Amino acid sequence: MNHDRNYMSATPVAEAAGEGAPLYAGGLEETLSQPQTPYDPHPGFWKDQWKRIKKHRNLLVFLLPAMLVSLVFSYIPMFGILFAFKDPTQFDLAKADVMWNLTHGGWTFNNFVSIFYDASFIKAVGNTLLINVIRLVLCFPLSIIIAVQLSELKSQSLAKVILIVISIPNFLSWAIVIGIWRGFLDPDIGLLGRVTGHIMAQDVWFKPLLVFFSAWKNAGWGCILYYSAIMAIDKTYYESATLEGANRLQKMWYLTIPSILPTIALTLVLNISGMMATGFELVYTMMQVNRGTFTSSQIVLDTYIYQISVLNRENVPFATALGVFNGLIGLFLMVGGNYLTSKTLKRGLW
Amino acid sequence: MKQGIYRFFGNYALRHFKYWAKNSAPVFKGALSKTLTALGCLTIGLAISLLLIFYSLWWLGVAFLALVLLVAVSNIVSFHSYCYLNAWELGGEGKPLDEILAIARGRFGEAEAKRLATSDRMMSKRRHSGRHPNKIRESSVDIILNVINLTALFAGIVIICFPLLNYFSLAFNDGAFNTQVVLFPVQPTLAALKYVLITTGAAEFWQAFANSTIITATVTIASNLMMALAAYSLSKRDFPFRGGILMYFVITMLFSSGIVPIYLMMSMLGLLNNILSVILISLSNVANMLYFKTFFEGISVDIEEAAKLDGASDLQLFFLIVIPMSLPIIGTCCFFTIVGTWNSYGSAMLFIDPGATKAQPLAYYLYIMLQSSTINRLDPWLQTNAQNVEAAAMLASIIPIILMYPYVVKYIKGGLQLGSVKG
Repeated sequence: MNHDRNYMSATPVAEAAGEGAPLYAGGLEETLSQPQTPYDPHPGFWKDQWKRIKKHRNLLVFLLPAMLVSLVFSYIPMFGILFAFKDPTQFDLAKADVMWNLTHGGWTFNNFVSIFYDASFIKAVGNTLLINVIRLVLCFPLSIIIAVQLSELKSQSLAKVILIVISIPNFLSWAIVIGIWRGFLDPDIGLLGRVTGHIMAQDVWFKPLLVFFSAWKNAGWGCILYYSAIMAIDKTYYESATLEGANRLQKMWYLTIPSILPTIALTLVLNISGMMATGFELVYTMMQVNRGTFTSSQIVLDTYIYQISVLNRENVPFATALGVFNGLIGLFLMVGGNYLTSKTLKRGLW
Repeated sequence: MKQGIYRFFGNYALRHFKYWAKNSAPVFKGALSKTLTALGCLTIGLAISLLLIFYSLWWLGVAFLALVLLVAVSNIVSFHSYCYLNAWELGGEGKPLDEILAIARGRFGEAEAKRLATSDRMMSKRRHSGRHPNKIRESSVDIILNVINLTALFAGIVIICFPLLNYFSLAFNDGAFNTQVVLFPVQPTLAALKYVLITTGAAEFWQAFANSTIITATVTIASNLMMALAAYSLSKRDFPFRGGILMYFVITMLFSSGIVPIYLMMSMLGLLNNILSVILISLSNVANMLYFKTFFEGISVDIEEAAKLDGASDLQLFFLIVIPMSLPIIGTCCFFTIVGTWNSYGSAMLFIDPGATKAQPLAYYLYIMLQSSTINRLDPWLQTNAQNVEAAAMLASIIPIILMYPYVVKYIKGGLQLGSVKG
């Protein structure tokens, strides 16, 4: 408050003195009678902050636990980025502990360079992007379509019952989802598996099944967001559209979809920012369930990093570099996706 | 000329011809789309229902077949009514009767217009529908849309429920009859559930169950409490360095250093193969904090100031006034934390070895069970019942989720009440 008043009084004085003419009638004498102060963009800023700190000193204590947890489990691991700059030939976790390895041995930038020469990494990025683009094209509109379909039902209580039923798989863990489908696709006892054969063990079916499983698990739950957005649309819009002679498909396309565009934009940004992540649990469980082998068509970024760092411990600096690179791409995608949607759809995360 | 055609083709044909000459394109399009829909529905539906009947799901197949026939018949009926309506609709769509009669008077002469106005078919059609002719056509389109819509949703429900029922009925089935299970147990028995919950597998299962319960309870209470406290501070508009502190939290959501540094840190702290690592890593939840903050900002300042005048401290204010007022958002966030923590095993895969059975959460235990698909092939009973034991363990592990499902139902019926994610 204090800060605002000072700012307001400082500006007219400076301008009135410069111009020599009143800016607004009746205010000139009053402004000139005040002592002229040099222009200060933040008069009394620190004093003001100190007042606020004193006012909210108890609330600062409220903030401490969350800040501490963030510091320990998000910011301190960021120092671990230093591992990405260690020389992998002189880095061996089997020989000594982590701190010794960090303080001894040479430094290099080559880990980041060798990312681009790593064939598995290129393959992993390609697979990750492919899976996510397919998911964006097929699974992302699926939830919207289901929500529009549900909203078009005459009986909305039936729509809610359907919604409750189709959101069941979202509450199962990936292990259960894959267990269920392994049972269903089992070549001996599975109902579908007896027709299709053992497709979960075939490389060709890995990506289609992955996309299908994520649609099976998430589509029903995802459409709740859109459904409630559609339910929030004013019904009078639909009535006037009917009077104007719009049919139902036109009402869907020109009224329902534009009305839920903000929600769509929000989920689109989140989807795009998750473009480099495929869902570690899903992919790794699918890889393990029937074969336990890593073929090049199944490798994705999450599992590749896990495999070379935690599982094999073969090249920790390189894996760190991969993780950092992945995080940076994720950050870039999030900021870029948000920029894109806020430019085109005028909506975004922030 | 008009008179000639009229004489030659008769009343009906003339009108039909006139309509086709004027509005042939939409009629053709409509007829084509209806025919194609009918044919497509028939082919796909017949194929699916034959498949279902072939695989001994005869009643489902018959039900599906009936549905398909309904779609096709409704399409054919609507196609007929479409042509018929177009034939008698004289002056184009959506015009009142007077106008149509005026047009008829101009084209066919006074006598014919009078005959038309009193013609049985036209008037009865109008009386019967009681609405605009436009509406009649649209309602037939409506029926098709509804049928397609219901068929698709029904197919969705089948795709969701069929594998679920099929798999979980294995938990109550005798292993020798697994191939005959469709939707319900063929040879009902509780042997598999007994094996997992009471006899041989009980120790491991209940250990994992207890671990998961501890992890979920701790994370839900601690994380949401911490995040709500922080969000309450940040919901004050004049909080010092508010923007900076918010940025401090949001950055952790935007950028993470990857799994390797976190893994190395946990190994330095000596928390590997310990459920504490799984708990600690899931404590920070910035998205929930932003939801809380948005909600707290909506709480009226007057109530808090009144409580302060009565001498309430900040802690009392938070626990006695703010928390009771924001129960909906707290319930929602707690619910999501419970479901998410109970089902996740990614961090357990990082920090806990498959061999460390004392520290495994339930979802991780199930994952290991899946991975080593044959639990113990030495036991002859297990050889035939491995699948059933697995299904029983999975079924038992979703009991807490089933218990929470009434909340889901309430949540879905009430609509999504989360605030927008705004930094």
